[in-house]
Amino acid sequence: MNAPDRYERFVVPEGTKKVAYERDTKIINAASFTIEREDHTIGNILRMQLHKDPNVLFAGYKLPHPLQYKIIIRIHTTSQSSPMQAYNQSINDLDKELDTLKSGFEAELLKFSKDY
Amino acid sequence: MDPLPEPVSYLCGDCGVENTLKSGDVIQCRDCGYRILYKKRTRRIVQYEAR
Amino acid sequence: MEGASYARMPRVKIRELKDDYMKFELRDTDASVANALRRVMISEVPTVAIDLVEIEVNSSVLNDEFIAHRLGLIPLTSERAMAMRFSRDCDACDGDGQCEYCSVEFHLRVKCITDQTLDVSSKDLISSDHTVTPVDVPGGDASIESDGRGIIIVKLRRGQELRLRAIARKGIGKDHAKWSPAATVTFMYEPDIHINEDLMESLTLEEKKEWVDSSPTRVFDIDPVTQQVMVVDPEAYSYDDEVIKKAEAMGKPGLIEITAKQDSFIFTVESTGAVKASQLLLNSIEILKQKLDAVRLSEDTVEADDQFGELGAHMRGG
Repeated sequence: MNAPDRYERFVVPEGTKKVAYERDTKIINAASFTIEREDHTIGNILRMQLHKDPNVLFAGYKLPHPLQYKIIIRIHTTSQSSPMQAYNQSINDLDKELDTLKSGFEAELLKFSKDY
Repeated sequence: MDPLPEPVSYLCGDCGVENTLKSGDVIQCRDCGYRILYKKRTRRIVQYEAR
Repeated sequence: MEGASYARMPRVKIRELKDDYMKFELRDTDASVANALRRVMISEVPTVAIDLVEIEVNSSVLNDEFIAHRLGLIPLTSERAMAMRFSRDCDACDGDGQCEYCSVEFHLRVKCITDQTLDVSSKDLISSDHTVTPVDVPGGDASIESDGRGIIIVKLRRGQELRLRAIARKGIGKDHAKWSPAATVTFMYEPDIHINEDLMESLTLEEKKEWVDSSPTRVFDIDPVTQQVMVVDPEAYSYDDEVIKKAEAMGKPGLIEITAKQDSFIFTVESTGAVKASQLLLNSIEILKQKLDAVRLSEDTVEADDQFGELGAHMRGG
């Protein structure tokens, strides 16, 4: 009787933003991004991609509570970049990686069905 | 509220014959005299979530 | 200044490809990407499944909601799913989520008139859209066993009848497992096996046989000609360390070295038939890209006030 509806896991309610960020007042070039209605699927790939950026000093994500469907990603960067820049850059990089994967797979499919 | 409801038909528990009863009638099958009658399924279409 | 791209260049090699089964190798990418693909294939690739059932007549032995539940679990061919809209997002229908753009209608009308038990199967479901029908498992020969007759929904006796109307909608596995297009999706790290040949030479043939047999799966074998231990199927290795423990027990630690290649994965994708296995992977890549796109920062992404925002509350233990 207390269980939330299943669609709450992925439908962002009216009025709530999908992504929001808060700068850290005490540390420069540090921010936390709150992403609503997402889970480890996005959290982990973004975090691992952020680790590859040499300008990123710290990158981590967590689910504050398994029954609250959101993730918080924390990013610290050097002064060469900003957390927002690093965040967007990693999303772009992941997008490129997925494009490479897609074209690679489609080419493999063609090759495979031709050899058949 | 409907003061004179339409005559409702019930199914006999023994022979399965339809019996139309009005309020105040004796509860007994017309054919075989069995005294347990079942109500038929509602005419309304019931909706279910397939979950 | 936008720096250089730190994107990886993954490579794919297909090993096996059938309509509902696919085995392929994924190289030069991170485990997080492999896992994200697996998670999306299971829970976020959309399919079409029966969501609403209106029953007119049911005199079968199963009650209404039981039959409705079974109908929901029947896999439907979902090529249309990626292009369809979710019922909740559809603006064409008058709010009931049953218009032709966001749903598919099914009918089922059966009555048993013979003395023989009538099996009501998924083949009796009549669709309003011929591209969305219950998945047909190819029967092959006329075996009376399973397959070929469709999924049995309920069995009827003489006089029992079932009449219903069902609406199928687009959904994802995260909402309810009936919408998951994947039967199994697994991936394993590719093992890197090195046999220390010098140490191996110091074993007698008996000891070699004993060591080869200590593995629960057939990874190694002894070549009948050269009497050498060789790797037969490295992928049969399930990362139990039985052979390593056996080598240590025999007094020969370091006989074998097995590591998992951190960027090489072997995927097995098995589909329910709703979507083809190869199409399942392509759809999952598409969905993952859409999710990433939805999460981008835009100009109107509001910078929340630190003190009063949710994060502030969370940091303070609220």
